[in-house]
Amino acid sequence: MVMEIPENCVDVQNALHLYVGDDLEPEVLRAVARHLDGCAGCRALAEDASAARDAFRSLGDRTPPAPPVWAAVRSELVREGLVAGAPVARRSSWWIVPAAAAASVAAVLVTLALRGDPAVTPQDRVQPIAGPRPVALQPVQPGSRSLVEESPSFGAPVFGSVPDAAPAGQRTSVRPIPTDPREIVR
Amino acid sequence: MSITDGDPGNPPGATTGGAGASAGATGSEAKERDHDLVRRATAGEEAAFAELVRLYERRAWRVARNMVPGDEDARDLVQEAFLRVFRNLERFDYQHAFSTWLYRIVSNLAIDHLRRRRKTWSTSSVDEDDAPLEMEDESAPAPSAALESSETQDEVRACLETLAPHFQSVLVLRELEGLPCTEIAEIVGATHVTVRWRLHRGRKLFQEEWERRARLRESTRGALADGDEPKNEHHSAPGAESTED
Repeated sequence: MVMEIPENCVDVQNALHLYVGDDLEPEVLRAVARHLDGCAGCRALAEDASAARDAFRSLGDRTPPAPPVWAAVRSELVREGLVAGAPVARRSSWWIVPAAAAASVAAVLVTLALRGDPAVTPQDRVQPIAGPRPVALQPVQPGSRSLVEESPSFGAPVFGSVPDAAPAGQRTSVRPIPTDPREIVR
Repeated sequence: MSITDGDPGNPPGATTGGAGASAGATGSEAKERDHDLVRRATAGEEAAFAELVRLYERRAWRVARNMVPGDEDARDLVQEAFLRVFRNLERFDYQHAFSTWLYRIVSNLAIDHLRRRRKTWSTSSVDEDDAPLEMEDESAPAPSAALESSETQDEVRACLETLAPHFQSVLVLRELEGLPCTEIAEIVGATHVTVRWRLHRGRKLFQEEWERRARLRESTRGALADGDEPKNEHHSAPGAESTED
């Protein structure tokens, strides 16, 4: 590498790759320039070196834009316990929030539509199943009749079979097991 | 060290993709501003460190992206660089500029990444400066004018990747970041003379590779036009003389 004033083509050609980038001392730079003014061969080599350098520098024009890194850096610092506080939510999936909102709106609309849909008949709707009416418990007096007979509110069981526990001749309040869910009424 | 909880998002006034780090600030002003931010960050002010990240993330990205192929690797590298900065804030030497320190971290990480990649590529050669095999797609159609610019960029990157990492770092810092050789010497931990030698050698090797590929392209196109087999130029590994001085 030439540090001295170039005196011939060999010296100048050894300095060309620093010359094209203005990386020589001023006096060496001037000496090379003077030589190139009078030497077509060295001047052509300098042009080739300059063209290659220009091609390299064009990389800077096409560097992709920088992605923001603060959120990721901070999250990592929080994870390592070097920074206090909740990690910053990464917004790498930008579509999640609007998609969730759209799904919520769609769910509300579907619900409203089902409530007012004339195609849905009352028979098709599931009736709430009521349990037995609450029984008013009375203290059992010796000799009293069973609660089953006294309490008029004791209704028939809704599910399951009921053994025939009624005394003979007495009309039982047990109803047959309904097979059609739509027949389940209070 | 821990930092008190502050604004978990961007610091007040911060804008993503904003202006350059030293917009409106001279060299010495930027240096003082950065030193003040480092002191405040060291004292536990999260917003100060976030501001440093905002000011320098673009520069760090440019260096990383031009040395390391691939957006994802470059992004990981930049994040790691800032994490290392944070972990070592208390060891920052105020005799140097913060930018110098950051550039050093980024370029060292990039060099390490490149050396790891080269080791995975190399199958038989011990010398990690050997160029990878180059396969020319002979069936590819001639590029249209719209694609030529992109292809030129690809060619430039391909040429750069054939250089040893210590040449790449000097070329990127000098040609793309515009840093003077004196500052580059601080960044890479070498003398000014060494940096100029690497610059001279790096430019020369890049030019040789660039012209070799240009000749190969011309040869291939000419052969395809004539229907002949393209000529294969024997290529000696660039950087073979890239031993440290």
